[in-house]
Amino acid sequence: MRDSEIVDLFLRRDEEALRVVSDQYGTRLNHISFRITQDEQTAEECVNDTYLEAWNRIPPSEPREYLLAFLSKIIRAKSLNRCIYEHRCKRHAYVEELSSELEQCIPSKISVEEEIEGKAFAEVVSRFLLAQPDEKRRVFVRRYFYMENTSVIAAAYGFSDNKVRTMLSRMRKELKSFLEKEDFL
Amino acid sequence: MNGKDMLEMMSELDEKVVADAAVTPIRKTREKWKIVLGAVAAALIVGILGYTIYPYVRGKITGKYKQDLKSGTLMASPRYPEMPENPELTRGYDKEKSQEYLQAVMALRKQPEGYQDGYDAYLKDVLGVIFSDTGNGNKAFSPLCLYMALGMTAEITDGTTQQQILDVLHQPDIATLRERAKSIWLANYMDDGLSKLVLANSLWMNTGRNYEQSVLETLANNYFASSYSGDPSSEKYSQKLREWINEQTDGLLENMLSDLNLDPDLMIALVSTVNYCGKWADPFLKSETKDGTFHAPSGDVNCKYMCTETGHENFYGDHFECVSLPIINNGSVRFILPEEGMTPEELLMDEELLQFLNTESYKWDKTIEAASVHMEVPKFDISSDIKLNDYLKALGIEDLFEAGDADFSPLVGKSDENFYVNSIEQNTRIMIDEEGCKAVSATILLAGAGQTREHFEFILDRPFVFEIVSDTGLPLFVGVVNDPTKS
Repeated sequence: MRDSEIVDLFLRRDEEALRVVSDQYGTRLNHISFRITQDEQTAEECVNDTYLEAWNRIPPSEPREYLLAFLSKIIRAKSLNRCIYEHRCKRHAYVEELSSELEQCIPSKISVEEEIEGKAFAEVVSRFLLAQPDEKRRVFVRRYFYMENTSVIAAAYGFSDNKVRTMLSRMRKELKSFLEKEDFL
Repeated sequence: MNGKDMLEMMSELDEKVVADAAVTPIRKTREKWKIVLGAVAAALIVGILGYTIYPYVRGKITGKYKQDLKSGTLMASPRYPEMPENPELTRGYDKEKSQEYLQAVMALRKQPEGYQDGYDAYLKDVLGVIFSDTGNGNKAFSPLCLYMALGMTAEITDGTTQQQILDVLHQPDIATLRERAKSIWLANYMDDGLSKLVLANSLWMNTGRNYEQSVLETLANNYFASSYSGDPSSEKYSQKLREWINEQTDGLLENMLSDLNLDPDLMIALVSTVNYCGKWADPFLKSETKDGTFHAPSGDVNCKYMCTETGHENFYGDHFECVSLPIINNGSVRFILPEEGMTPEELLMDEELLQFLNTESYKWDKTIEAASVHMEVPKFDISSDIKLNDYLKALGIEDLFEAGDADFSPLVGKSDENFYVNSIEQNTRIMIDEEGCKAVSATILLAGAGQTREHFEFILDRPFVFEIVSDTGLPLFVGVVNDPTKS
């Protein structure tokens, strides 16, 4: 079923929407969550929580074009939340590793204590990413949004693992300098 | 704001950016393929290759090793490189430890240019004969295990016996082979607590005979081989051999080798093992595993299929399609499905496939990119026991098996006795499940252009070929699965 038709089911408050979403995207959502939590039960709970949140957010949201991305964002946030705040994550070291990499992008004038509005920050990062060539953008998003291992990304794009690491390292530097110029605070 | 905050904020990225990255690139569009991949979650492969050399004319020879310890004496032992623990195993991220780990791995990977030269030609030759008579059964083989065993055999032989081995290995001389074998060993070594690829070699000698200690040292320094001396008529010595093999193969071949006993007349037994173990970089979920039908040559069978919908590296050739699944820091497993109507045996004779097996994934340009991927892989645990004598003879190694022709003088000096290799055998076991892949292989010689596709389905529900490749791109194991329900 097309995404727009599924969204119509949500808008009509037809519970069939949940069954279709589960059939169509359940496995992928499960994988996103499992990649972060490394726990099948937790991943399953996150998937169910995601369906519930989607039910509550559509309407007013109407993600007709990017339903999977809409769901992916929800499940990523929920899974990471479980990982960081509820310690339900066996991949604590992996989260720390990704955090450490992303820390290299934070402009030096932003202190650790400073609170940044997440949505505004993400908008700037999205703008930076949309200006990148397709391949570079996808590699970055797979690493820091989908939290994929570099060897998986390398396999998906036919690169060596080293090439992916180098590409990411350069992009982190570019993002840092972009954020410094943008002055989004 | 810190890195963790930033990681969390990435959940708010633009949906277009998020959706776009979920697309797996495709460079090929063809008719929809159905390939079901069985579950592969973690991999462990152990290979053992061994043989014993017998004297043709049997007589008592006194030697310098008089200890005659029933359980054997260690005569030479190798020093393995230091390998730090994988940082993923420790709770909390330690940047310093991570860098130390990466540096240690990179130092081992960095070997002289051309150290793999000859391996591709050797692989092509050896696969051509080994898989020429697979029939309807499963077969798994470790070319690397055989390579190391033949390399060591070349060190303890001379004349045409040695030359025939060098020719099969496509090496110009023994010194070059020695350097390359050592580099292959080092470049592929991995034992970090999470993944494993260890090539272990050993020689088992008869205390009643003389051996050249310098040769044992050469084998220890270049092939990381341990040498033992003991009384082969003693059950304790045979038990020590079995224990050594079990230790190197994590006990995975215990049943296959339980009746392995040394012959009292043996001159030497050589054992080579490859132990490979790893976890999928993107594991299968047990909750997604389902029952399904596999179309085996002998009839349909029911088996468990592991499923995933994550994008991976997909390839094709004129007669096959392949999905490669990466293993964390330890190479990848490639599942290769022959085109409809072609058997794995026939496919393994195909020039393009042999070239593919020898090519690192990122260098192969016939890739399939898809917006979405669905894979189904049968879970399997297969064992294989291959007698290699005839295959090696077909490749040109003949003197080794003929008393009077075989020349073992570098190891035993000039002797009136005529030594020969009785048999060479390789036992292999490969297990694949949701977490990863485990494989054990033992060889024992008793001497005696791209297009885009919206959706790509890869369903391994009929006989297929698989290959396990190391992080350096070296083919470690190649196998054929005709029936995943048979061990």
